[in-house]
Amino acid sequence: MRRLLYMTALAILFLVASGAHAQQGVAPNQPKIGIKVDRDTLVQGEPFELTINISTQSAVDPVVRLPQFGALRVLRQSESHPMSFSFSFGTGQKNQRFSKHESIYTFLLVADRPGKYQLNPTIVEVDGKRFKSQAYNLNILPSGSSPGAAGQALSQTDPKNQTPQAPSAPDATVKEIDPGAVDPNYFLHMELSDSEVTVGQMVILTVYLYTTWNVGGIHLIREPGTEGFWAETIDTGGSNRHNQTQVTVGGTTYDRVSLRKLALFPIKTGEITIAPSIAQIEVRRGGLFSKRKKVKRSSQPLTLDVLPLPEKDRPDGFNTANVGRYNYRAALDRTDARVGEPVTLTMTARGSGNIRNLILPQLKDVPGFKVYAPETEVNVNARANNVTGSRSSKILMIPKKPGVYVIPGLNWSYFDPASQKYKTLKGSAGKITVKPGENSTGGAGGTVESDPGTGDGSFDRLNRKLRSITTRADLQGGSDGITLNRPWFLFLVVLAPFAWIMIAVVSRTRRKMAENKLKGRSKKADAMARQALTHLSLGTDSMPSEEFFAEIQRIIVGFLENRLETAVAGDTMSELDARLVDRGFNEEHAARIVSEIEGCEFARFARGASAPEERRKALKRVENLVDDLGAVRVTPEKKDGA
Amino acid sequence: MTKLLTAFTLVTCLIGGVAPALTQDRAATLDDMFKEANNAFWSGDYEKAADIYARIEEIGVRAPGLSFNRATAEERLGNLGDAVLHYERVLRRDPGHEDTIYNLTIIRDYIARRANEDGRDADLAPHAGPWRAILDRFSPKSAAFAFLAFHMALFVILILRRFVRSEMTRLTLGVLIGVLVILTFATGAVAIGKYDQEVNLREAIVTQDGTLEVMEGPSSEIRRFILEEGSRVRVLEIQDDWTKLRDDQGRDGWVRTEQIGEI
Repeated sequence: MRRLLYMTALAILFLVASGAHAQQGVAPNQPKIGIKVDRDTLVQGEPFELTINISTQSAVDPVVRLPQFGALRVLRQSESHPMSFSFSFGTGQKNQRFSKHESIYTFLLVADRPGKYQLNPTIVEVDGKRFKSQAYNLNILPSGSSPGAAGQALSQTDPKNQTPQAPSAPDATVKEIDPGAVDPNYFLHMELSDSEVTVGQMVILTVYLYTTWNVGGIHLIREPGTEGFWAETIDTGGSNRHNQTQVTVGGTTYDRVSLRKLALFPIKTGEITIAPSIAQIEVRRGGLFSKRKKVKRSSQPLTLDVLPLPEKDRPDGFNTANVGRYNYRAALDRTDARVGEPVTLTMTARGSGNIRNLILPQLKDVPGFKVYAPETEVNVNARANNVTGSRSSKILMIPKKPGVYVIPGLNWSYFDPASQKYKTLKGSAGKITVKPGENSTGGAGGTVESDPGTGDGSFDRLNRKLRSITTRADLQGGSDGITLNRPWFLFLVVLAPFAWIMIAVVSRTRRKMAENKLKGRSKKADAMARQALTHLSLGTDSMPSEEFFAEIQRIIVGFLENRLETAVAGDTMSELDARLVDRGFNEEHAARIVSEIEGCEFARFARGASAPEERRKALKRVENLVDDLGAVRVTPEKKDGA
Repeated sequence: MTKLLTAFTLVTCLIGGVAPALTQDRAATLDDMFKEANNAFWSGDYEKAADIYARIEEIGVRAPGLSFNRATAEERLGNLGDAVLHYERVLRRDPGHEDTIYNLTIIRDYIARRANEDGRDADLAPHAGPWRAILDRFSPKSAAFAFLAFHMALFVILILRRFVRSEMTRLTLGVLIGVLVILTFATGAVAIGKYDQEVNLREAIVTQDGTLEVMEGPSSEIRRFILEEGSRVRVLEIQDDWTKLRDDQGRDGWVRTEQIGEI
C-alpha cells in the first residue's frame, strides 16, 4: 500500500514537471523584476541601498542588463543567487533545459547632489526575448531635509507593464557573424559596443568564445590589440560559468563565454584597427571520459571609426581627455587659517569615463598664498560594462599674509558623448580668512613643506622635490667630539679586561695557596711519621710484637689521615684502596699501603712473637713507603654529585 | 671647622642651583633661536634663517637637525655647494639620516644634470671603496658604543665561564665567546676606522658657485681640472690661503681655501 502511494506521488511529480516543461517550451514565463530602496526618503550625501530582484523561469540562463546609475555614486555592489534550479531532457542540440533563477543585485548608492535622477530600465533577455522594466525615478532631497518632507518616488516595474520586445537574435552583433566563415564547433569572436565613437569616448570590447563542445580550459594567449586606445580591463566577475550564455548563430546554438572585456578610450581620431585575439582552448566532445584536445583559435580583427570632438561650443583650452559623464566639486578644508598654516584645496571629478586620464583645473598663482604641486588620487571601478570612479587633486596652499581671500572659480569642462555637448561645471572653492600667524614653528614636529623659492623653473622643481626643514633638533645633545678617546670610554674599555685579569689572578693565587697548604700538610705528615718511626726504631727489639705492629699501623693511618685530611680508620681495605686511588695515589702505592696495614693486622693477632729482624724489615718498608708517598700530589676530595 | 663646613655647603648649593638654571636658560635661548630661524624660513627669509642656524652652530651646537635645516636654507638661497656641505656634516654625525640622504641625492642629481646640460660630464655621487662604504654606514658614536657593548659582553662572559662547572654551559659560553671575539674585533676595527676618519681624514665640499678651477699650484694660473659645485674632495695640505686637494679620480690640485668648505 505504502509502495503504491509512493509510486503515485512520483507519477504526479513527473506529470507536473513535464507539464511545466511543455509550457516552457511554448512560451517562457515573463521575468519578475522588482526594484526597491531601503528607505522612504533619500537625502543628498546619505548612502542608501537599492535592490533589484529578478526572477525567471526559462530554458536558458537569462541575460540581465542592469541600469546605469549616472551621477549616483556606487559605493558598493553585490550579487547573489538564492535560487537556481535546472534540469534537462534529451541530448545534444535537442537538449531541452528547464531552469528557474532568482538573482538579487544590491547597490549601495549615494547622491552628491539633490534632484531627480532617472535610472534606465532593467533589461532581461530570456529565450531570445527581451523584457524591459520601466524607467524609475529617484527623488534626492537636499542635505538637512527632514524625513517626510517629500515622498520618495520610485517606480517599481509591474510585471504586466513589462514590454516584451520583438523576438530578436540573442545579441545584435551575433547577427553579424557569418556562420559559413567560422568553425561550426568553436570559434573566437570580438565585439564592440559601438562602431563609431568620438575621441575619448568609452567603447566596450568583448572577446567571446562560441562553442558547441565542452570546454575544459581556456587560455587567452594574445590579448586584443589596443594600439590607439587607453584600455581598462573590466572585471567580469570571475568564472566562465558566470559569463556564459546560450546564443544562436545561423541556427546553431552555441555556449558563449566572455573571455575578456575591455573598456577602450580612443586617443586618436580616424579608423583604428583592433588586432585579433588568440586563445588556446581545451575542448572535449561527448561525455566525461571522451578525449580532450587543445586547439588555438583567433578572432577576427575589428575596426572602429573615431570622430574628433565637435568644434562647436568647445571651451578654450579644452582637454580631449575629459570625455564621459561627470560631476565635479572643489572645496577648501577650512575657511579660517593663520599665516603659515597649510590649507588644502580639493578638486574632485566623479563619474563614468576615462577616470585615470582626467585633467583637472590647474590652480595658478593665488595672491597671498604659496601654492604647491597637486597630489592626485584616483579611484577606478571597472565592472558591469562601465568604468566609474573619481579623480581628486589636492593642492596645498600656505597663506603668506593676513586678509580675506577669495579663491578663484575653478571651472571644469568635459564632453558628454551621450548628449554630444560640452558641459562646464562651476567649482568655486569659496572664501578664506587668514589671521596673523602665531610665533610658533607651525606644528608639533616633523617636516613642514616650505616656500618654493625662485622663479627658475628647474630650481623650483628641485625645491618642490626636496624634503623641508625639521622642527625637531636635539640642540642639547649635539656635542662635537670623539667618543673613542673620552676618559670614561677608555676607563670602561680597560675595566672589563682588568676585572677579568684580576679575577684570574685571585683564582690562581687561591689555588696556589691551597696547593701550598697541601704541601705543608704533606711535609708535616712526613715529619710526624718519620719522627714516630724513629722513635719506634729505638724500641724495636724491646716492644711486644703486637704493640709494635699496632704502632706501625697507627703511624701509617695517621700519615694518611694527615695527607688526605680525612678519617680513614673506619674504612675497609677495599674502601681505603679506592679512596687512595681517587685522591691521586697510584695503584701500586695504594696496594703497598693496604698490604702494610693488612700485614700489621695480621702480625698483631698472629700467635707467637715476630722476630726482631722481621720487625726491622717492616720498619724499613714503612719508612720507604713514607718516603715514596711524600712525593705524591694529593688531589682534593670530590664533592657528591660533582 | 664649622665655618669650613658652612662655606662648603654654600658653594655646593650655589653650584647645584645655578648650574641647572644656566643650562635651562641656554636651552630656552637655543630653542627660541631655532624657532625664530624656522619661522624666518617659512616666511621665505632664507638668508635670515641660514644666518640664525649658523649662529647656533657657532655656539657649539652640533645637532644633525640643525645642520639639516641650515643645509635646506642654503639650498633655498641657491647655494647648492653649501647645502651639500651641511648635509654631509649631518651624515658625519648621523649616517642614517633619511631626509638628508634623500635631499643630497636629489641635489647631486640636479647639479650633475645642470652640468650635463652645459656640456660637462659630471658625476657627483661619491665613489668610495668597500671599507669606506662600511665606515660611512656608522657614526663615530654608534661604532664606539657597539664596540664597547661587545667588548664588555665578551669579558662578562669570560668571567662567568670561570665560575661555571657544567660542561654543557661551558661549551655554550665558549661558542658565545668566539662569536663575541669576532664581533668585538669587527666593531673595534670600525670604531678605530671612524676615529681615524675623524682625526686624520680631512674632506671638503666645493662651495664655489657653478664650477671650480683647480690649479697647478698655489697662486698658479695653470688650470689642471674643473670640479662641480658640491663635489667631495680630500684635503691634503694647506698653505696660506691655498688648499691642496684630491678628487675621487685621484687628481691633485690647488684651490683657494674659501672656495671649499671642510666637512
